[in-house]
Amino acid sequence: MTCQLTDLKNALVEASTEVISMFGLSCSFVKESEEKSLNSGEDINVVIGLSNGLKGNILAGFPKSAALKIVSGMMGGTELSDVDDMVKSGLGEFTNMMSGNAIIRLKSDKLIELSPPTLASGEDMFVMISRAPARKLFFKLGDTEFNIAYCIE
Amino acid sequence: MLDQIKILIIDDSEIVHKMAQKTLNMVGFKQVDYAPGGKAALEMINNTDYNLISCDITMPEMDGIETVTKILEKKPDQKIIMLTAMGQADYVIKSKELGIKHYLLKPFTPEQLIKTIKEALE
Repeated sequence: MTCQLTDLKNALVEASTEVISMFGLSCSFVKESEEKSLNSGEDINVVIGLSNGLKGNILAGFPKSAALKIVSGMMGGTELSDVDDMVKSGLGEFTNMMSGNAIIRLKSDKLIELSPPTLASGEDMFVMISRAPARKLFFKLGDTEFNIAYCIE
Repeated sequence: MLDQIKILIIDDSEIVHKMAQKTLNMVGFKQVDYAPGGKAALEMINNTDYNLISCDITMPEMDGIETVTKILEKKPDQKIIMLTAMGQADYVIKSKELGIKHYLLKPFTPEQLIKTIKEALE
């Protein structure tokens, strides 16, 4: 099966909303944009590489508010105020779970391998993973938001 | 007695240990240790006999399949579950070939984790 961009988009949208819901949260897909490169400029950015059955990258971007909300949900509602190592670990794991969930939906004949997540975080952060044209999915998460960019080689 | 049972969670993401520990503590499992990867886990099992080990698949340096293979070389009767976001058939098959009978996908509900842990311990 040759994975089309549309297939991956749909899989990422469905996976994101399902995984978020497992933590007692609700998100909705807002829009998709075309990007000239695979990039993210949020407070915390997580990249996962795809290889073997599907080559490309997934890059998730989270403002601090979304990061705390998601990881708080993962920890059963624990109040969090700082993006510390545990929050970063949580976001890496959330992106891992979401990507793994998306990959299963593609029903690929060949094994699609995911790399462990890599994080880049800080103020005024801008990360560009690839100059290849990419697409970015925007999600609303209550009063905050996050995005997931992706590209296929 | 559940509080005498020793469980080891192997995962490069510490939050998975925290999530699992919280759930398992609530039902009576008191010793839930953490290894951030395969190398650390192999050292820990030298010093402690764990009733059950939970292992992720996607980890840097040494993935879960290699980790489990090396654990079973040291302790062939070790009870292990795979706790992973990787649900593709190839990984399930590889795990079964190693003799792993229990495979739980992340994200998991507390009920799913408890059920899988208890079944694996039987």
